Amino acid sequence: MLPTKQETNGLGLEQDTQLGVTTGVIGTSVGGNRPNTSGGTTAASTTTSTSTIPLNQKLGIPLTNTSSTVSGSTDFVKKLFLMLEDNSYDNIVRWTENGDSFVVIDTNEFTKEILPKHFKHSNFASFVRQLNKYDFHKVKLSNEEKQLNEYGDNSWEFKHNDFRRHDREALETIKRKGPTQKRSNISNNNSNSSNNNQNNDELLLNNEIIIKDLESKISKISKDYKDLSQDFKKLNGKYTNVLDSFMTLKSINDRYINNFNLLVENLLNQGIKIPRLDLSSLTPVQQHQQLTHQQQHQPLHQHHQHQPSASSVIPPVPQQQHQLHHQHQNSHQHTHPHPHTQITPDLQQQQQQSKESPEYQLGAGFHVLLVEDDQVSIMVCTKFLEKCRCTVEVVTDGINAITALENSKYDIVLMDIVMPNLDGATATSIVRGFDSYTPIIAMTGNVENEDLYTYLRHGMNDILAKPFTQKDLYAMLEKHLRSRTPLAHQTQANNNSNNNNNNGDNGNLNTTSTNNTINVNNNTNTNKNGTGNGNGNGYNDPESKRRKL
Amino acid sequence: MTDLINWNIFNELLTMDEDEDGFSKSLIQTFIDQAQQTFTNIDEILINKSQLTDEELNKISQYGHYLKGSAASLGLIKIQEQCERIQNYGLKKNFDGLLSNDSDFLGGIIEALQNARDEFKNSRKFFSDYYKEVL
Repeated sequence: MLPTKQETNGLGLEQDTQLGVTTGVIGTSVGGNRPNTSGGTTAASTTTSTSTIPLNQKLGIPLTNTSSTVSGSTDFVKKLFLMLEDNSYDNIVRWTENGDSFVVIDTNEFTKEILPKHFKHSNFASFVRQLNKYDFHKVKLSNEEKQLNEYGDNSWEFKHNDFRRHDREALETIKRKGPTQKRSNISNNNSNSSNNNQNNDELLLNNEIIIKDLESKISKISKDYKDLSQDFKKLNGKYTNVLDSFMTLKSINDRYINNFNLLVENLLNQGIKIPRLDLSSLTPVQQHQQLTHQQQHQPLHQHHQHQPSASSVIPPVPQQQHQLHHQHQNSHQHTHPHPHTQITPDLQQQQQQSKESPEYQLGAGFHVLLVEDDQVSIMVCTKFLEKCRCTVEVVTDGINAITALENSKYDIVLMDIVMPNLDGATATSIVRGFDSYTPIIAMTGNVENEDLYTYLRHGMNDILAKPFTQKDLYAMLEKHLRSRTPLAHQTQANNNSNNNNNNGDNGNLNTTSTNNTINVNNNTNTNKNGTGNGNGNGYNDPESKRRKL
Repeated sequence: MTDLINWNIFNELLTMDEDEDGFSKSLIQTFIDQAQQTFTNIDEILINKSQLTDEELNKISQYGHYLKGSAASLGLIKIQEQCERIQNYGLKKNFDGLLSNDSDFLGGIIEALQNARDEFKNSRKFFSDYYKEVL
């Protein structure tokens, strides 16, 4: 304990000695150039000079020139004395009522304004240390006295027996406690107790100042931090909004383009000639599609026609899937199983159309985690998802959802909110701790604004209001998955490229385009004859398009 | 046509029978089981009670919410409505202002539960007629 204190003190002393010397030197050098003005104007002036010269002249005490150290030492006390006599800073520092001590009322202002001007530094702790070296003492007040203190409880009162208002002569008796003497005391392990006490007092005082300083710094930092994180939150919210708007805009735009292409195709089919169109804003894939539209009259069909030939090198899994879909499609066409008269022909048509319409752009094979506790909803939602050509895994509460997401990957998560064990919003915020990529869509009947914000704040990407139609669900899937490739296909594509470089199913865009174009040309004849495959191709085309993406 | 059902929703479910014969009927069957179970669960809380704790009210609210979701996904709007009342009264919210006595949530729940049961009976009869089979 003791050695540490001594060491600290020793360091402090060294610093102070330096400071004292510096003050003296600067005081002298600057002083020479100063006009003989009164203390008042000096204080008001904005220069960094001290009032050394005016002080000495006013006091009629010439600076002793025996050594710079000595002159510097007494300088400090004199400067302090003059400053107090001057009364210019009454609000910051002044004599107390009795005139036998002085008080620093506003330590902040004192540190900012007075210390730099008169003492060449802005370190209140140094100032106090220096006072201590001249044997000034802080007047300690009890808590009760503090409250009654006319100068406020943050004031610092210092006292020296020979430091009194208007008493210039007494200043001469105030001497610096010699550093050598002190050092020897410190280095001497048998130093007397009074000196130790003094050291302790000083240390305590210094610590008090340092703590105050740190406290104010901490409070400033934490305030800054609070402000910054608020700003960040705001910005983040704005960013999400902008991103959302952008994605919406993009999906609308894409839809327009697709509809437009459909229109063009229909017109071409009816033999109406259309001038070459400039659709420079289209993405490369769509441009390519546009090109083939112009070259061929039935590009959708042809497009697909090459697929089987290309798929001779595709691993068996996707091929199987294709075949399944074909069968599916065929069964629809031939049987039309609508046993219930309640279904209007309109509805049937809508259903039929929706299967072939360009709205069904999303590829097959997205793997969906459905988190839902209600059996009926599970059945309905699973059915809808299957219709959207997704694969589905079901869990029935938030905890199982977290486990599922920890153990495997899904393209998207559909999450109920109110569930046993753990609600969907909380589960999401936990999932967001390790997975920020997978879109999580809230499915809820609560569509009050307040709730919606809560869900989004928890890291959910979107909200699907219950009950929803298949179309609603599809729109939501499309919104979040259209720019993505099913995870299952991603690994598949990798395998393909490893197995066969000529496979049109994967690889870079250029290769794919070329392959497609060639195939399209080769297959023209087949296609004109093979209208029976039209529907199957129609629905399969988006998939091939997606792969190119 | 009946006003028990939102036909937009139910028609869509019927079209699913194209791929999977009897899909819509299995949904209805599931719902019927679920509704009966839920009614029983609520009854068990209510039995011989003149006063409910917040915890009990909360539990009832959860059952209300649960059945509301199932009914909604089938388009059974009448049942859905009554379940929503149960859900809110359980949270001590007189959200529709239908409670004459503002604090009589228990009374409101009992009334809404009875209504829900009536609507459930009607729906069940309707579905039995529709599928020409006793459900």
